[in-house]
Amino acid sequence: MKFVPKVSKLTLGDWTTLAQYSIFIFLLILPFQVSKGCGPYHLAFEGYSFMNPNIVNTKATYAPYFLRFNDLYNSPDSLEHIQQDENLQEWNERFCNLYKIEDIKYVIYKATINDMKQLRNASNDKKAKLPKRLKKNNFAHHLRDEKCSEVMEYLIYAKQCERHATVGVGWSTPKRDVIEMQKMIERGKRAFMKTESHYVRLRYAYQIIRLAHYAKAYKAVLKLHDELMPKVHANPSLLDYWIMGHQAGALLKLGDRVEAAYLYSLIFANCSSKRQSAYQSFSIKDNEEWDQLVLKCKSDEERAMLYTIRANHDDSRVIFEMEKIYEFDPTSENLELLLVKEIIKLEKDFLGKDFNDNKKRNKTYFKIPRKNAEKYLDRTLEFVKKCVKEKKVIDLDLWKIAEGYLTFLGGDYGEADQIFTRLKNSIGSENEAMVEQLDAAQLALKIAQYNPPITLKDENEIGNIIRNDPNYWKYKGFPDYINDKLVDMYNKSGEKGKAFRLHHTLDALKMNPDIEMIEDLLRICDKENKSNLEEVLVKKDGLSTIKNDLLLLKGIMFFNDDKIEAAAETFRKIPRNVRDLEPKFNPFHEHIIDCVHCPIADTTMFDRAGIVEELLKLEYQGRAHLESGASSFYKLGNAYYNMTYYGDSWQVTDLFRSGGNWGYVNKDNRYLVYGSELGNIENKKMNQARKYYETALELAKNKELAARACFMLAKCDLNDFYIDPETEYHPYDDLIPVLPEKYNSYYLRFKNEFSDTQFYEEAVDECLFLNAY
Amino acid sequence: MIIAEDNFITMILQKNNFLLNLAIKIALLFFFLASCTSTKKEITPAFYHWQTNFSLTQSEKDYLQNLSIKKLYVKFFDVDWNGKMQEPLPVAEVILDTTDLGSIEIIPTIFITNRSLKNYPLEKMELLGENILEKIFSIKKDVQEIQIDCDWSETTEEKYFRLLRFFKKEIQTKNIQLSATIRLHQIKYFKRTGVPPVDRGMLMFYNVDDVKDYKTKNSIIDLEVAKQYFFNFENYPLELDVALPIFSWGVLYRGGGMMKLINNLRAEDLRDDSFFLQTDETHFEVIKSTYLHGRYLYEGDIIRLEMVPLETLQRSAELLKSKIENPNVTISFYHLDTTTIKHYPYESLEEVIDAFY
Repeated sequence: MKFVPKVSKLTLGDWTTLAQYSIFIFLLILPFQVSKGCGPYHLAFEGYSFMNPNIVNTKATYAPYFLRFNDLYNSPDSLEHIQQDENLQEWNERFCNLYKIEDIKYVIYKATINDMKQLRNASNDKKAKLPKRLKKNNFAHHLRDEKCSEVMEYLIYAKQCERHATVGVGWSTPKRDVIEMQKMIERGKRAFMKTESHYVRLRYAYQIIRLAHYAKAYKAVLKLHDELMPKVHANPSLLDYWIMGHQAGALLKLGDRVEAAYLYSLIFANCSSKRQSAYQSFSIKDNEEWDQLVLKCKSDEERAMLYTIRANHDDSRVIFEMEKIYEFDPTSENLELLLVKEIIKLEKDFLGKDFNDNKKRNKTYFKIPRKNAEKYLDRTLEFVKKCVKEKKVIDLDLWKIAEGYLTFLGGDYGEADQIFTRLKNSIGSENEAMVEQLDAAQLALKIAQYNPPITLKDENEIGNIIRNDPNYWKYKGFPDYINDKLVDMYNKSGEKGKAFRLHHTLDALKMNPDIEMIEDLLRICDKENKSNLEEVLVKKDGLSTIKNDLLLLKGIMFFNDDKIEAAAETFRKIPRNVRDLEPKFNPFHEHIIDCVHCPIADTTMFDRAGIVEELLKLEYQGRAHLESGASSFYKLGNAYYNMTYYGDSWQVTDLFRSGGNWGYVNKDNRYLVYGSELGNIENKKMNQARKYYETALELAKNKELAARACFMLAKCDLNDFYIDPETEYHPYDDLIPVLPEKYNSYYLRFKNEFSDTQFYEEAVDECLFLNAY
Repeated sequence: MIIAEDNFITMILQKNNFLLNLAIKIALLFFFLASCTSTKKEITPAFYHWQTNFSLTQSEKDYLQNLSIKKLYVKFFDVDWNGKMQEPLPVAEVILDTTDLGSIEIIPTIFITNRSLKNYPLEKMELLGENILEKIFSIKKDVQEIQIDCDWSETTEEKYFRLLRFFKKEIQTKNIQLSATIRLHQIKYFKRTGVPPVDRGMLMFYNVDDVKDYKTKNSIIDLEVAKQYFFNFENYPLELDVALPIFSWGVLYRGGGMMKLINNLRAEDLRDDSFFLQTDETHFEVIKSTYLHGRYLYEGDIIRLEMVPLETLQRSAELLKSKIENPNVTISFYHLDTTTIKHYPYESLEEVIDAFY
């Protein structure tokens, strides 16, 4: 369906579109609400990514290591599981995959030494019972029925070794009983020699060598290795690498660092259960050691692996290592894994670097984009081009996409476009993942290519992307990417309202209204031909727009600028039926103590337009009857006072007030607020109220009224004192402030001139401050 | 006779004058000596040992002897949060070999990470305290002082102080003193940060500036930066000892961000101009990728070399002398290491210690 905006009659298509856009806007706004709530805030880089890590061969040997390193290999639990799983898998294979892993697991890891001894007895004596816990265990049945005595003897021995091999966790440090360990080694050696199965021999060798290692008998480790291993002729096993790990550890302790590093590199290359520990133990001190290590390697694949290990450091300059890997082993699958990992890093440096709304934060906290990132990108692109040209790599299409994508990240959109277009024609549709990756890359490029001013056509096009492009929803970076790009373009073309609405709700505007934004949004509301996007931006609910809210805000802004006639006119533009639903106020009465939640009941209430009319009427009355006008001016003072932050009618001039801001009074009167970086402005202006109270005081013939005006002026002084930049008093200190001379004249006057009035008594009773003074 | 009598009187008077003069002089001398001895501080030279293997080489032992070192603050273990066990646990426990140490006192020093306190509930501080003490005494039974090192924050202050109060209560019956490390800013803002409930504080006069910031001149010690924190010493309620740095490191920057620290790095390690290009007094650019102290550096990396020259140590001592008013002060150098002490002849450190008198 072609997406054409309609003005008058809404069809089913329009409703669908509106619904989709509403979801879109809701989703745009939702993340702010969720992530910036009151819970613990996790500071993380904020950007976009359109490179799908699954584009590489996820079944590649090292894929989980490189692509899921953080969630898989950083967890000690996961490492333990990998080790256990691989061990069980091997046991299972040796028993022809006949038994459930759970059964094998129970026998290997959970059965006690006594269980195993009973099992051994049961295999020798048919009358002997199986231990209760092994009765339903088919693997245990097999060991008994087939009289696998070597395995059972071994398992008893292994379980006895276990207590010597526990690593101290917690507050107690296990004390190694070296003499007992030595005895166990000797016992193990005897059993090893008696055992016929070479696989069981291998397992004995592992236990024996491990014991020697934990006993810190490093020379013995090497001696035992040389003594036992030639006597084992088992098929390749993961235990070869587990044993190698102990051998390498002993070599490292004895100072043969290069040989140790070499063995660790082999373990890293071949044994996933020990890959992480081998990586952590792999250590090279200087260039000489590295050169010796490279010489030790028996093949180019082994040499390439050394560079892969170095590339795996979090902070490594991967491209330097990739160049070396390619030199030794261009068909290494690790090259592709590293390429994707590297592109994802470069995306952080370059994607939306001009318009990412978090760019300052990313720079401050994460130093992204990195210094010299351009140089690094150039080198990466150069390498990728070389790989594409020489065609030695495994997955050439991936390298071609990388070439285009890196060209795009470097800012050469035209060239990137050409590469993508060529690729589009050459990648076979059967390679779905690659086609999808190419589409996502093209979409990112297309969005980057928009320039301000953004036209109706552009907006409709973007609307169609949001609506129809499957990658928009599939790649989580797109909504934010498009949003930030649009905001940047709208800001550049002066469309402040649109820019604001893309990042904020209307409520955010109510906290700190901006006339340019309001005018911009009103202009859109009044537009006859709105684009798809504009429709959504000014849509309130169902069929109505935010126009009335904007008029209300505009009126309030006029009001606060003392343009009350203009305010009244603006309020009157809001339809009567809508105005009737707005709250009503009576700000004209008197409060000795400030109370924002104490509206006077049973009085005439006014809407905002009504208040303006009443203000104008009182002003007229006051001026027309100067001699008796004091009470009119006093009422005007009350009205302006009560419509500030301190009064019960604050909503007349402000649509958002936070009591919490009282604790953070500051000279700019701007407060941090959740939901808008503009902050919240509170109406604390005393000037209008002060003006009318002063007139009332001057004109008052009645001393009681004069006392009232004088007292209210003292309150105006106090409120001004709070926000004076030189004031050190903090409202949350809960102390009665000591007013400097500048702010205490009306208090003194009230005390000196009006202490004989009835109002004075009343005020002293009610007002703690006054009482204290 | 009268004359004779007069002479006698004069003689007596003269003699008395002489005696009076002598008495006054002696009194003045005593007063002077007394006043001198009463203001002279008692300084105890000490060292920190921060490695897991405490087995001193002969050269280290000789060095300590030459400096008349009386105390060694030995890091027994760190306490760090263990995510798997969901509790703070000891790590990097020291292997202690105290052979031939003579009368040097070993002071167990425990570093507690702030996250250990953050993650552990307040009511479990006593349990943590029990575990720490038990661990300390399992490593060494006879202890005269225990020092706790923790860069606590506002959020962990309550827990940390509760833990310290527990230690104090438990060890005071055994006549063991409790000390805690204090950072400079914790003195300036002590009303805000609080004062740890311990017997003495050890002012760590190093790590004064932001090591991560590329613009920092010398994060280990920069007296201009340190001076900004020279407030409130006179009001600080704890007696203070001082820890002075004698270590060096290289701060490695890659892509504009700080990557890591290269410990014990010195200018001579960066002399090979086929790998390093000195760009100013303290900065070096790696011009060819290379290993250095077990780290692989890439072409384009920048190293900021941070060292503590003897003059800076001397100047620090002079500055601190007037700030530390308690009569007994331990001056401890951080930290004992064969490579490091080569660069600080014991005679020079003696001069630094003397500057505190």
